[in-house]
Amino acid sequence: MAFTDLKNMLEGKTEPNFERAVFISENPHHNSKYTYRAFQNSITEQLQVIQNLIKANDKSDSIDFGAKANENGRFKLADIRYLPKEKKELYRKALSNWAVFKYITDTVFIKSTFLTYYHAPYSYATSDPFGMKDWGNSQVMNLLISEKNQGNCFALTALYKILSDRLNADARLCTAPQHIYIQHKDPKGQYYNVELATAGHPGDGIIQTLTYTPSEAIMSGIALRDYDTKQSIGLCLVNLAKSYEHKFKTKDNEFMLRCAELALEHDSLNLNALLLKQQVLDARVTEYANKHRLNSITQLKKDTTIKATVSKLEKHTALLNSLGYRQMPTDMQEMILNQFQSEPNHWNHKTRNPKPFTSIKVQDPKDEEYWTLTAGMFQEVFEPKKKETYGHYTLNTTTGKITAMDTNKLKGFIIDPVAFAYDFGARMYDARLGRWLSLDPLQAKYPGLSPYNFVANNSIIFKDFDGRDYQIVVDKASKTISIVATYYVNDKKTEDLAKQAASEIMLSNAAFSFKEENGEMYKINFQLDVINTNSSNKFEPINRAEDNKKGNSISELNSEDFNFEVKKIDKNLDASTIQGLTSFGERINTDLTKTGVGDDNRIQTIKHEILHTLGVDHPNGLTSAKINKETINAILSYPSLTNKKEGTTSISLTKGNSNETMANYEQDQQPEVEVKSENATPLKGKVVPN
Amino acid sequence: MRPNENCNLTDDKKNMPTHVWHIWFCSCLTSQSKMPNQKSQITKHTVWFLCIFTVLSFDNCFAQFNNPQPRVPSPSEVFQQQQSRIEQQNKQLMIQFGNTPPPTQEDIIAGQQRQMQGKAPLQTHQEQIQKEMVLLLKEADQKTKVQNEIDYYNSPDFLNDQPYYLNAKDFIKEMLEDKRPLSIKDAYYKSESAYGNLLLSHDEYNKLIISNANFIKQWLKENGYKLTDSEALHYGIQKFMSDTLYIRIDGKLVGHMPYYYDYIDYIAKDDRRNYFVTKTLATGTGQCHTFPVTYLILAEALGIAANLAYNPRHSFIRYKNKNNAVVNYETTVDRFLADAFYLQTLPIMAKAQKNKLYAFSLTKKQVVATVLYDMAANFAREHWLADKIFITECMKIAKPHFPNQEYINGTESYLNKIIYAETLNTMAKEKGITDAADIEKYPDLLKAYTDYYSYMEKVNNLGIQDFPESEELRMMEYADKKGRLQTAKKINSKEKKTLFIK
Repeated sequence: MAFTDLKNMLEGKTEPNFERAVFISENPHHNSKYTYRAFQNSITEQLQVIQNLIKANDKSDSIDFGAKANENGRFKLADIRYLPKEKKELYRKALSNWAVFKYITDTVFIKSTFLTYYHAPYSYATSDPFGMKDWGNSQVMNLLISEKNQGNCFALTALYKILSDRLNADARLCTAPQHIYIQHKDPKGQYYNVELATAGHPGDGIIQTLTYTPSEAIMSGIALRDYDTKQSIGLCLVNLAKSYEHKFKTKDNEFMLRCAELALEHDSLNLNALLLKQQVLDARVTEYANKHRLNSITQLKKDTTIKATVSKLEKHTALLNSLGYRQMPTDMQEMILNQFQSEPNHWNHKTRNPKPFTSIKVQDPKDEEYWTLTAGMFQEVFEPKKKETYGHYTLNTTTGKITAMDTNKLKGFIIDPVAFAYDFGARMYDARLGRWLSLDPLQAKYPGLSPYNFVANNSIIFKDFDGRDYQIVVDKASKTISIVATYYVNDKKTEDLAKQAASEIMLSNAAFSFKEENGEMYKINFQLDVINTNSSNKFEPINRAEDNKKGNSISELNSEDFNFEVKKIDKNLDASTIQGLTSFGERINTDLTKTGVGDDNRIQTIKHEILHTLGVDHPNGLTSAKINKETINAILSYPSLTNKKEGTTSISLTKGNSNETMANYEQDQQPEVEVKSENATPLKGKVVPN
Repeated sequence: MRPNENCNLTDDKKNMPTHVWHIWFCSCLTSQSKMPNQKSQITKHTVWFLCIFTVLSFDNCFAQFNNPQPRVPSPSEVFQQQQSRIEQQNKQLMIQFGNTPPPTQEDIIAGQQRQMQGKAPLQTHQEQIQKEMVLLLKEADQKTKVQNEIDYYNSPDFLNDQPYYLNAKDFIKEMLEDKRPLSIKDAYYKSESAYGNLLLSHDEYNKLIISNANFIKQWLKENGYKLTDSEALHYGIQKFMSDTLYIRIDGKLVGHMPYYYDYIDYIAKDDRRNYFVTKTLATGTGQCHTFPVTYLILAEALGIAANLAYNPRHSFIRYKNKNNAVVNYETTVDRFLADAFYLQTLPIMAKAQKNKLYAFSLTKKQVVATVLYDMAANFAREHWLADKIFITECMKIAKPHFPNQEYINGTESYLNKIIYAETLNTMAKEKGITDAADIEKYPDLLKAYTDYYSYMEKVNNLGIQDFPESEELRMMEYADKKGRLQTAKKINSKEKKTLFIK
């Protein structure tokens, strides 16, 4: 099923979509128990914070994206590389990518008047970088579900890509052997690499070195290459195969081979698919050799059962070699796994890199010295060799024939070359590696280049949860005080019920008045609107409420919705009880679809929660939805000025202009007050029934 | 300036009238810069004023020598003569100090007669001098001040210079068409000589290269290396350029000093010749453009293969060793560098490398083709774009030699950009546009902009990016610091000298 879905995307029968492809390739690992809708909602939830991060750091209104000619009337070409509109769009995309990067790699604080909470960064699963212990560590879903918030390169990078795509920010996936990373443009349109595991921006040279990539591999297009949407589906196919491998504990299965071949059919330079195919064929031939005790390649080539597979393996290995792929040496693999920490010997390069001179003796050892990025820690200079080893087999690079084999199970891959798992590691990728001697002013290179230098890097978001998402409108001319609020819902049933509840509250209109101390009487009116967002996004009512100072939301969200900003409904309550919860004074969550309860019950629950959003506590018992003068008093009054004993309320007509405060509340808890009057003298009086 | 000629006086110059002789000499002194509008007006005017002042003094000396000897006068005659002499001296003194002497009786009568005849009054002596000064200034001005482009491109300065460039272009074109032997040495000299004012004559250039090659061979022989071993010859060039070496000629010790990096004006912004291989050979100093070219020329002289390769604003040498492995040799520090080292120069470079634009070996023919780009850039420095024909022709001749490797040469990109800039800015100026947001309002201007934009998108999509601004600043600061050190150590990197120690 997953294979077919991905195949349809590759063949254009359905639209290629990376987010969906990731879900399709990962869900089987979880026995397909999740819905795509839930996956999407979870991603949307991540976006809430990211979008607020963008808002908090967006300086585009104060930036001049234009360009002017100089005093000679000439434009500088660099200034008009992009016209103002496009420059602004580049800024938006770069800022969006920064926000995604920040969200994944750093702690983001969300501060509201009630509390401060934070979103912790995702971290690299150093204990299981290749997903060998738990393939889930390679999955985006694992990042979203697991409390550990851990994942390897693919999980972190794919999550980045998905979030960036949602924001239309044009980040692209790139791969190197055993590694996957992101590239995107900075506001000037220049690309940078983004490495999630180390939260860094390595140059291509570093990536080439640390992934043991010869230049031939770059030239052939299998390494340090980017993927478009369709090509990225091929990556998901490989992951599907690896998921199968881990689930069924096999390295050789026809399904895995089909995944590799389908990916290669649409992208012949997908190195991971090439290596997956290599792995399957290698495992197949090796297993046969061990089973039948065939100890030499010659025997295998003569065996009528396996010789066809051997031939396939041989051709495929020769192809890998011709494309420039070289298997990372065992000692380098071990270093990577053990996170090699010792100081590199700067002059140790000789032992790892071949000498430039092969037929002469130089007078000074420095005359044949190679300068390398890792100061000799890893081999960086590649020379053609007559033999190259891939897995259990040695290839004669001249003839393209396998000439030797070693089926000892300790040989071959230590790390999984197919998996995207390579973490450069903070210890390996550090400023020291970024420093090298200056050769020439034009070659001087400094670490610390980043595409995010333009951002203020504010990771604190202030949320305007003022606790009272409604508006008081005082009209002195018509002697009316209006209580105005809007409720967003997402389905017809909730809309009908909410409108009923609002109508019942509005029946109180003209039932109460506000009597000023001087005897003037003000009518009190509720104006409660219910708006159906009709959105496929479950969180749309919450989004709309956030953007509206007098906005609130009524939703039905479950524990699977991964929503940490809404109190979750307890589904195990009394069958006749509908639970309603109000979070942050504006988000109502209630299980309106619960069966076995009547609509009247539902309406009363909504009324109760609406009153909470208007600032009412539980004055008359836990479940009451009654409107009385105490209710109106609570709605109208600023807590700081209410003298509840005397029942006196003072409504300041200037927001935030209170002279008295109570310790428990802050001034910004006051509702929005709109005054249709030039006279800003506070109204002092009390609520009375008509 | 003409190829390989210094500012020397020739015989025919001596027969010119005095003031004209002065004008010519002063123009030699002041013609340092090649670009119109680049001269210092103050300097020029000062020089001219001094010339004129000298001229005036000189003329006065001649006038005194030409006066006839007087007979013995009578007392009244003596008195009159004395009065006349005093008057004359006063008049001259007045003129010298910038004052207008009063008209004599004869002047007044002559003026009245001229008026009656309807003729314009005679100018005073001061007026005459001032008029001549203005004429002289205008004449000098024409050499360096562009009153408009048409004047400049019709001027002798340009018209007499152009044939040298055209000739060099044809010369290199013939090499590329196999009508003439391919020679990196000759291609570069021809190109640089079109610019002119080189530090080496053609003869000196050729002889120096032969001497250098012979020195290398001798050194290798004396140190036990085989001249048939290409690796040894490469080693010889590397040691020759980076170390002090000694050989024995007829029993005497002869040495050769190494080349060193010249940080002062290393991007040839002030003097284009700092980008020339003739400068490096003549002075022993250079940078990442001229050092690899020097290496290539020496390799050519020694008969071994060496390739040029580019990196962002940089070039280096590549060649194959006996294991058939390509090695990268960095001429500026005499070291071998891994590919990844070069690939770390900009935030991303792999795509450009894949497209054979960075760290990729150029063939010998491609190197000769790039000389056309250099020459076009030299032309632009000297004469700006002119009618763009020369520059675009150079690019057109070179381009086919880089199939699927467009934009490999940074100079080619520079040339494309200045052409786009000129087209755009000319149009924008005509329309009075000073805000980029207004470009979209004019279809023809938008088309010109779109052409530029499409070109840049193509370049960027191949993986070519700019240096980040912070990197540019750091590089400039580094070069500036090193340059000041160089100056403090009184190392004259522009002085022609022999590197041979005898």
